Amino acid sequence: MNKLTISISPHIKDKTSVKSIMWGVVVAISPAVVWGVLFFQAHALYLVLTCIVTAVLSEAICQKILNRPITITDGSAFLTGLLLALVLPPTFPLWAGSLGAVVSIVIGKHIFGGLGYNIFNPALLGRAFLSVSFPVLTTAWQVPVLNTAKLFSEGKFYSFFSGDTITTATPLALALSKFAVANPDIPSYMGLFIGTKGGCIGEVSALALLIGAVYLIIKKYIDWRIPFGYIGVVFTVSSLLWFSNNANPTPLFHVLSGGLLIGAFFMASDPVTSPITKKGRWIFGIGAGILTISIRTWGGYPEGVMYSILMMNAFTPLIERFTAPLQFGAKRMMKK
Amino acid sequence: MFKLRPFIGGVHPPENKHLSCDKEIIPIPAPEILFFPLSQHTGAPCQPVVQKGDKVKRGTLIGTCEKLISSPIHSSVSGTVKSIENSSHPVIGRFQSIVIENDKQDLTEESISPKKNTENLSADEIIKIVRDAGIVGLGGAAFPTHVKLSPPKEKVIKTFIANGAECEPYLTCDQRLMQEMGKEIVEGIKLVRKILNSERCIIAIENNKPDAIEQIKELTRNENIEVIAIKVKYPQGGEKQLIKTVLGKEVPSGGLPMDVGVVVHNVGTLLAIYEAVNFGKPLYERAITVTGAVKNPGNYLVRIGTPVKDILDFCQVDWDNIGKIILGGPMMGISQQDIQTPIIKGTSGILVQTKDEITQDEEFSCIRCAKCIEVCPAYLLPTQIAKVVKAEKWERLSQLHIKDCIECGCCTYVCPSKIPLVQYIKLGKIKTK
Amino acid sequence: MVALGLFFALILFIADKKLRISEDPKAEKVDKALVGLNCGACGYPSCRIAAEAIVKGEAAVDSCIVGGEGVATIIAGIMGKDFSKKTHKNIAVVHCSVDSATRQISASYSGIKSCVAANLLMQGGMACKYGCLGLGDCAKVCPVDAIIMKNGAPVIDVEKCISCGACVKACPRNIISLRRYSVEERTVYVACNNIEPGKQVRSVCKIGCIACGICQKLSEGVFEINNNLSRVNMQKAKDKKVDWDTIIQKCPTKCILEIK
Repeated sequence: MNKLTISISPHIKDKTSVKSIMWGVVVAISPAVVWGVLFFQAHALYLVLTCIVTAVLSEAICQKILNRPITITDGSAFLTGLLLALVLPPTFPLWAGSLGAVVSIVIGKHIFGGLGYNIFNPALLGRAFLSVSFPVLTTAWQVPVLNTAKLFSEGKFYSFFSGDTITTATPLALALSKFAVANPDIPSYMGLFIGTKGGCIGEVSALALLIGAVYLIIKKYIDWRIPFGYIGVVFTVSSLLWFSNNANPTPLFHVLSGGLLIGAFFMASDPVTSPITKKGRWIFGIGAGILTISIRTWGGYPEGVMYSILMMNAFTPLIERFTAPLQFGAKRMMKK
Repeated sequence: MFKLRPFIGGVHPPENKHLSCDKEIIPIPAPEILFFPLSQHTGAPCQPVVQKGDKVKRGTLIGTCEKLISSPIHSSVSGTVKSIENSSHPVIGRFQSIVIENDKQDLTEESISPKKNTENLSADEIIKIVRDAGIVGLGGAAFPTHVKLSPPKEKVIKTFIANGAECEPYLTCDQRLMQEMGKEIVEGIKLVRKILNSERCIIAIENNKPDAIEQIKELTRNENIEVIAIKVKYPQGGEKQLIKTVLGKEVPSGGLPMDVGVVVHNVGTLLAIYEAVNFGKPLYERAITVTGAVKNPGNYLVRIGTPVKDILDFCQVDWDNIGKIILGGPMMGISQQDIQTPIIKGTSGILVQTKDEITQDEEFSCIRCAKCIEVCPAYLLPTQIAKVVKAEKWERLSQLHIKDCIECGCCTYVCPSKIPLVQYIKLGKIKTK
Repeated sequence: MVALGLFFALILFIADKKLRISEDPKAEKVDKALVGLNCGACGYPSCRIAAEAIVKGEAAVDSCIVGGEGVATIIAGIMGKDFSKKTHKNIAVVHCSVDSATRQISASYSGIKSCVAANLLMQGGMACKYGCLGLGDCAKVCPVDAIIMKNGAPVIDVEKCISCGACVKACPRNIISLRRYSVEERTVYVACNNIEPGKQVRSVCKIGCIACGICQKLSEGVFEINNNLSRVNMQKAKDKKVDWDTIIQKCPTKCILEIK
């Protein structure tokens, strides 16, 4: 008989691992990817692939240089690249996309010490970098001329690689402009829900994102508190605004348009950059919701999801410090 | 009936109770050599009262201690004291033990015989019998039972809970005891209720043991004892968690169940109390579950002091493929280094894992998913504690309430980064002592 | 704007005058002269606090163990005091010499790489309850990197060791002690800490002290055996002429070692 092994209890462990969580999130986001690529056509696909490949490569190079174990198979760099691509406009140049991916991984993640130590969501940091560096490119919205419903019904996939596009503004930008009430270009709720409108690759289809979100929550890959707090607050505050003045966009419009859904379910809920306490996660979601609606309504940008999540990321350590839970049996002690 | 709200936190590991839950408890023959560590309980260790060469019988007192929180030790076979030396201990590694050679005569102390007029015994007399019989909590912690039976006068024990939860995966010995010895357990409950003078008396059983629940319900039909089926959730068998589930009360941090007017006893302990009072039988044998990678998994009645090797030989194991031998359940049990380690009073089972089953995952960096916080039944922040321990900021640990950790292992079980959080917490506890 | 600027300038000026903390310039100088490791070996929590204590006269000018003679001379210069030069220093010695090759294990340990943590779990699966676990807690706490782990055994760099005692405290098995060391004298020690009888020691380790008593006889009592364990009594060694080489050679388990 050979030597027995001794180790600390417990001697059984759950099968969920970092790897399975990361790839699980990739699976969850895939409906939105598929829709985005079908809708925005070939260039969107190239952009997604470019961002992923660049992100994974920069992770490998960073880990090689910093003498850390190379963990590109864990899916975290893959996910960062994918998420970055999904929050870029569909016609965004490939070179700029890969630059964003490099910034996401190198500055967003490895400068802080790698996975688990970054303060800001790497994909959003990369996106913020691109917004600041290339303001024109990041706000050029193009929508395919071809109606996507037609694409399915008539099977005209040939247009996939040579689609004609027109440049439009995003629904959110339209709605928030001065002539909002009379603007006929604002898509219907159905269009917003299914995703036949202008916007970033991954954010257009609310339906695809919600399918992914349900999967994430059922599989417990994310904590439901953040997205619920986030979307709930956006909905409530925008209802109040809408009731006070009907010229403001409706609450449903606020929730379905822009990057709110992808932001709430896939960015804000990133465990690394959100608080670890239960109360803290509520505060994080609610804070991000208030910031988003404030930026959208009173700020200079039509969209505020990115900046509000990044701002809340910065507050995470502070929130954590003030929301440490009381231990079992502590309340009773204090009463006495 | 109102709906019970289980305690907050906890996990649902695969139960694997099917391996042994239908196997009747059968006795394992006493081995040639037995080891009796002088510390088998929480509290002060015993001093030997026998010497090398002394003859002992089944039930002979071999170690004792005058301190309050301690419990005497009895021989489980008749034979000769071979030596008193350091040998393997299942919890602390090595400890002074009395080694007894079995003479196979199985002579019994005269005091072990059916007792008459047990109804007339006073509470103090019963407590003395329990103490002298060396009865400790058989659920795992092995806290001397007589201490729990004699709470200070100012504490009124309103509720007495018999703990039949058996939340550890794999283990089934308590379930079998309730099914086979239900009558005796109910008698034990009545004895304890008499001592504690408590108004309410509850027996709590997890609802994955329907047969045991039926059996106990049947036996308590005419008694003032409530049988409560509780939802399966680990670590429900922990005293504080059980009280939270059954009564909705939280035992104060750093306090004992008696601070909220509750006393909890394991069903195995209650059986031992019954046998001590009615037959004068000291605690020298107990039911354990032998399970996992063995050919004959099941529930066995073993003599205290039997080395693990003899039990596993009896249950037939493939010695070449053993990776880990765990005394206790998979969540809180202790992996052993030596196959000569004896069964002690607090051992509830032997779990054998093959080499392939051993989880030796690389530790990954924390992704702050907070699953550990979600499952922690003590509402702590395990990942934060582990980080502080890694950074060796010992002074910050008390703010994180490290002492409230019950080391149930839920956090380590769920951690996707495979961080041995319990080990970091244990390390932190030692450093802050 | 200008008025606002002047106003804040005034506030800053007043704050500077009112809130200034006057310091002894000597403390500043002494602090600079100290090594700045904040190792705590002098008994003060930081070098700065130690410097203040030296200036106040609460601590001696040669309090800094790390800095040794050099630092003490500088501080004595600052303070205008004399100090007597020391001819020796203390160093850490490990009373166990097992390494990966000689360490006997009863089970393979899997868990965090810390001696304290491993020791809590079945003595880390090591056959000997008293010996070096080899997971390097001592090396981790050493402020000057004088301890490096080589083949699962700590190796102490005599030149670097500042005798701060951090490793002594860190070792869960208490096998490290501080010993007087100087170039003129020979530093011989027994590399074992097992207090069990020889037979048991032999069963768990081939290079442990079995308390045979040979060293005691040969050294005429400079080696003392207590608790089945031999130790060198440095007080006695002063007056006697001990044939160290023979003793080291005659030890049957070769557990008497010398620091060179």
